[in-house]
Amino acid sequence: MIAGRKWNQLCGKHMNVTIINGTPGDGWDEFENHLDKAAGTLSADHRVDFFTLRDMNINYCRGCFSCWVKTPGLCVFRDDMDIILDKYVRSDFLIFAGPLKTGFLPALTKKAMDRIIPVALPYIRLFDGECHHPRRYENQPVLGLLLFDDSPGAEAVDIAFSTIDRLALNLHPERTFKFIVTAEKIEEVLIHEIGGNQRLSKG
Amino acid sequence: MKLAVINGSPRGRDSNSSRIAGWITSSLEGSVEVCHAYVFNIARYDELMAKIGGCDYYLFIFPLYTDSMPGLSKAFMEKMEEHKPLFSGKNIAFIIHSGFPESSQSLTVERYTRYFASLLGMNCTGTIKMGGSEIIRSAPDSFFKDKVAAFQKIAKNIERSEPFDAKALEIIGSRKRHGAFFNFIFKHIDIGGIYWNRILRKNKAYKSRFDRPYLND
Ligand SMILES: Cc1cc2nc3c(=O)[nH]c(=O)nc-3n(C[C@H](O)[C@H](O)[C@H](O)COP(=O)(O)O)c2cc1C
Repeated sequence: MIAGRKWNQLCGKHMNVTIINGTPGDGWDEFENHLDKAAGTLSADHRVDFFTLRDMNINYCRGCFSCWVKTPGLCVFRDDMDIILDKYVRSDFLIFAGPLKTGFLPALTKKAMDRIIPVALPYIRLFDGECHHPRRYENQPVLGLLLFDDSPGAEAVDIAFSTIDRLALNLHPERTFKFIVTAEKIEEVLIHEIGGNQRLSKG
Repeated sequence: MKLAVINGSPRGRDSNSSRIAGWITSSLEGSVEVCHAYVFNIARYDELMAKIGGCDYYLFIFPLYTDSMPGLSKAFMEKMEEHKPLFSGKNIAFIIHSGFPESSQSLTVERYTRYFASLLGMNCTGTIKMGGSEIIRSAPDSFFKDKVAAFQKIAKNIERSEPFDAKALEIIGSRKRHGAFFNFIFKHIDIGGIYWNRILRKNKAYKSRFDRPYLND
């Protein structure tokens, strides 16, 4: 399956791409326009599901663990996170996009990230001397992070990147990618990472 | 001194964070006035900022959620940044605790706590990392005797606004990455499995423990 995916990528085959835009509010129009445009370009070859978190109704996780011990795989909240997780389990790519806020992933992004735990199992396995959870679903999308570049400190960027790497230890994607990008670079980076005919035609 | 204890758990009062906070506040001298704030009170953040704005020292306790702070803790931090002048120049300490037993799980977000403090112009007196916190709520204090004693020492450090006792930190975050012995035990006894299956059975959900509701298979 892994080999198949790589092959598909090389040939520019159809991918399921889920983009989660965690931009907290106004002031990022240029970035969001480019992100929109990139999603449009990718749609020519792939199925792209684009979510803007601030327009969605998603509750904060309240830590009840019902999704593990009462209704396995399902949160107590029936809200818009259902729509995202429904895509997530069928995705080849899951990409968090947006700026840093207060030097870290915005609360909006973090809220959605917390609500991913239904796709993990409660059980614990040891990986490299550390405990982690096995996955509930066979499919696990490539995990991507696309930070909007307005010159945040290098330390903040590095902390956000390594948070994604740590998250990957529990979600087990085949790989991760992390970029800090100017608005104009968004499309290029996404096409490069996801692949597709646009990339081939552009040479 | 006025100490603000910020409970970063979405579970609020009924959380492991609350228990840990209690270990500290119960051993503070009477001269320390304690002010509690709960991050789940999202509708009351402005009110809470006014409430804690006058404190001298901030103790922010949060559980590890998907390898960083819970979304609600982050929302509270963003609010604090909006009110930066209230906090600049003051002391702040953090306690990060995780369900997994190793304190190494919290290393990345520990870096962020220091970044956050400097962003707000605060003086970070220390960040304490502790593993294995999920069982605290379901066990008596006597079960964590050494750690409770270590937190009592930390309380004294907070009172005197001094750096945290190195030995106490060592006891609280003792378990780091595991060595060969733990690996061996873990291979042969599925401790997590025993714990979660017991709860699943109690909830009559054991049969559906591997369900994949989004695929309907
Ligand atoms: C959504 C969610 C995500 C979690 N992520 C992690 C994690 O990445 N690593 C970890 O060690 N524990 C994780 N935990 C476990 C909590 O840190 C642990 O249960 C903690 O004791 C909760 O403390 P509280 O009662 O103060 O909220 C997670 C729990 C929840 C509900």
